[in-house]
Amino acid sequence: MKVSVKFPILFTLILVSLSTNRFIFSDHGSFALPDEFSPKIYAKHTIGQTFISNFPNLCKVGVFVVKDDLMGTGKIIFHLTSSVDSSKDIVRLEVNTSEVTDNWRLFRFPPTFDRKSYLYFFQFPPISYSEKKNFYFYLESPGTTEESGLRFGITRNKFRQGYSGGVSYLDSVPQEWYLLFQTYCAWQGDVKSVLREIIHRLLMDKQFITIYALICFIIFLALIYTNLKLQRFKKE
Amino acid sequence: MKDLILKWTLIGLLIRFLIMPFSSDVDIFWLNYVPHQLVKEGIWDGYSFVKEHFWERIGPSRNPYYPPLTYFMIAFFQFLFKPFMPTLNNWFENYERFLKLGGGIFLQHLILPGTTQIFRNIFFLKFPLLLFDFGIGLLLLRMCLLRNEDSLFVYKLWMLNPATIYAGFGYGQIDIYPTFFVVLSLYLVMLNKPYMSIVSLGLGALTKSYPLILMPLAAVFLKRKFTEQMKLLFAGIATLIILYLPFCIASGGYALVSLFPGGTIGTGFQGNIKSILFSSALVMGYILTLIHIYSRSHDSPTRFKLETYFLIILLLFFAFQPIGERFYIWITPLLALEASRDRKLLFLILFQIVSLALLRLQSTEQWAGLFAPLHPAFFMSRPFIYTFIAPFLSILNFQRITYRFFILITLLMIYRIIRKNSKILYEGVS
Repeated sequence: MKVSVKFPILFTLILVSLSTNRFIFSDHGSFALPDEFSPKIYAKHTIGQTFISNFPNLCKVGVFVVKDDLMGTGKIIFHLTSSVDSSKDIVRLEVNTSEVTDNWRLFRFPPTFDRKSYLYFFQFPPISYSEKKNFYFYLESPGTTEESGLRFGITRNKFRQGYSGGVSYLDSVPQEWYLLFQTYCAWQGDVKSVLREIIHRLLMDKQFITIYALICFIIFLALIYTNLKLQRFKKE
Repeated sequence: MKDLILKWTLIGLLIRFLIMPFSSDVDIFWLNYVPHQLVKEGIWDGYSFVKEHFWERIGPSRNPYYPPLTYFMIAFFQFLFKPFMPTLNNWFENYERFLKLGGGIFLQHLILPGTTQIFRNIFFLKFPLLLFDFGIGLLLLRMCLLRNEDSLFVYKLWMLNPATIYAGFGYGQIDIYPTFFVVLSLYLVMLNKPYMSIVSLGLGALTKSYPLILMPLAAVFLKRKFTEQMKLLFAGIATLIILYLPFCIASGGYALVSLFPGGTIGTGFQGNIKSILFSSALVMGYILTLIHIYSRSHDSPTRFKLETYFLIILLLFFAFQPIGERFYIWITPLLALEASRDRKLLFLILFQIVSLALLRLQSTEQWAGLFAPLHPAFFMSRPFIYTFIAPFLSILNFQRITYRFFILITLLMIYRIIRKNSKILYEGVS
């Protein structure tokens, strides 16, 4: 029975296209769960964080939101700006609290049922110029009261957050605790750019790469020689 | 025969060389940073150093560092290869600064300043693993030759061992060190040197603690009288005490935490029913094995049977404890020896490796991300198996199914090994 090659290829392509977030990687965030939660954010109160993106194409920012606070009918507004003082949004997103859930299925560690908070990601088109740039994101929940406000995951242990370059804010005032957050960047490029970068990194240490390549070549030659010797022995 | 061994040695060497400089995990930094304090500042007590500078990061219950022999061995090789790594000091200074500010994920380690010589640093930091890896290969060869077993088959398996290549030369972890000492201990049993064999297990426990669980088995197996068994066990424990004592005194007992780090020996206990059942199964299996050894006390000890007992216990351990994928190295030399006598076991081993990979390799860092030193953004953004499973199946359910499959395969292996070796285990016929 003849089997067409087209079907496995088509199947693979469909399978690949069905999965989302394929070519992104984590820049900031340690994947540690919060050991504390912020004061309630409601009405005009805000909670925010500054950070520097290490890579271009910043495309997702995630925070931990307490599950129990999501029962109401409020919303969360996410703002991404260039600094605490800037009023111009680079990104502005709104989500109803009822829609907030774990929206990143591939955790570093599996989710546990007794977890108090969801890890929710705000996703936006990649910001191509984000490499080495300062950003400030803040969250607010207008229309909520102190009772229906939202709490976000924080920690007082800088090693849990795993990011040292930024400051957490409450109502634009710096805080001593750390907002637990994660950022993702998208990789966009082609084979040529990847190869170019790899060769560039290899040639940063020409001396080692030359000697190393020579040793690998010698091992390879020795292997061929031994193999030929064995084949000759077999024939004899 | 010599040419065949040479051929496979060159194949093994080439595979390892091709991977060594270009792959890494985040562990390689901490693993080498702490012993670096001995090389750079002459700090012999790494535990006190960690306690003083990184208490907030490590805390009282997390593993500060590996046991002392690992500390000294890594420091020794760093000292030896120091002339070839001129930027190592600078690299670790930047790493220390980065850590003290809070640290970060693996990707951020790779873009720390001082990465111009990252490939050579990774290569030389992993170089000692080659020595121990080929040491195991030679020991396996020798053991099989002495017993007229298929030494070439075992050697080939070892040279192509995916666990060593992945976890040792890919990751840069040091599980090859205790594995070497366990294989050495079996070799010393063959040479009828029981005390040196148990000391070898003690030395293995001084690199990573898992050989501790094999020590009582070995003591009971190698000697028949209770007093002699205790003397043997004492010799093994004394090996540990001699090296640990100075560190315990200096660090106020903190060094002992390195003996029982999370996820290595039974510290995955979570206090729920499943954990209790699994731990009980492991303890029961261990006790039954000890009882069996006692009941066969009239047999003469051979390497062959002790290796089977070691394998059964470690497989039980893998089945009932949350073992990480890189710890699979521990049992691979024993599996290679067993597979040389029972080729069909290879199928079960293959299923076991695949299920362990699906279960434990939970992020890009553990797959393509290992090659992130070559191009951080590209390799860290590669999708991995869960990316394709997640749209169709909950990852948690997938892991549950895979874990049950892994346990089943492991238990089947234990059953097969016992059945195949029943003549030797039960009748003392070799």
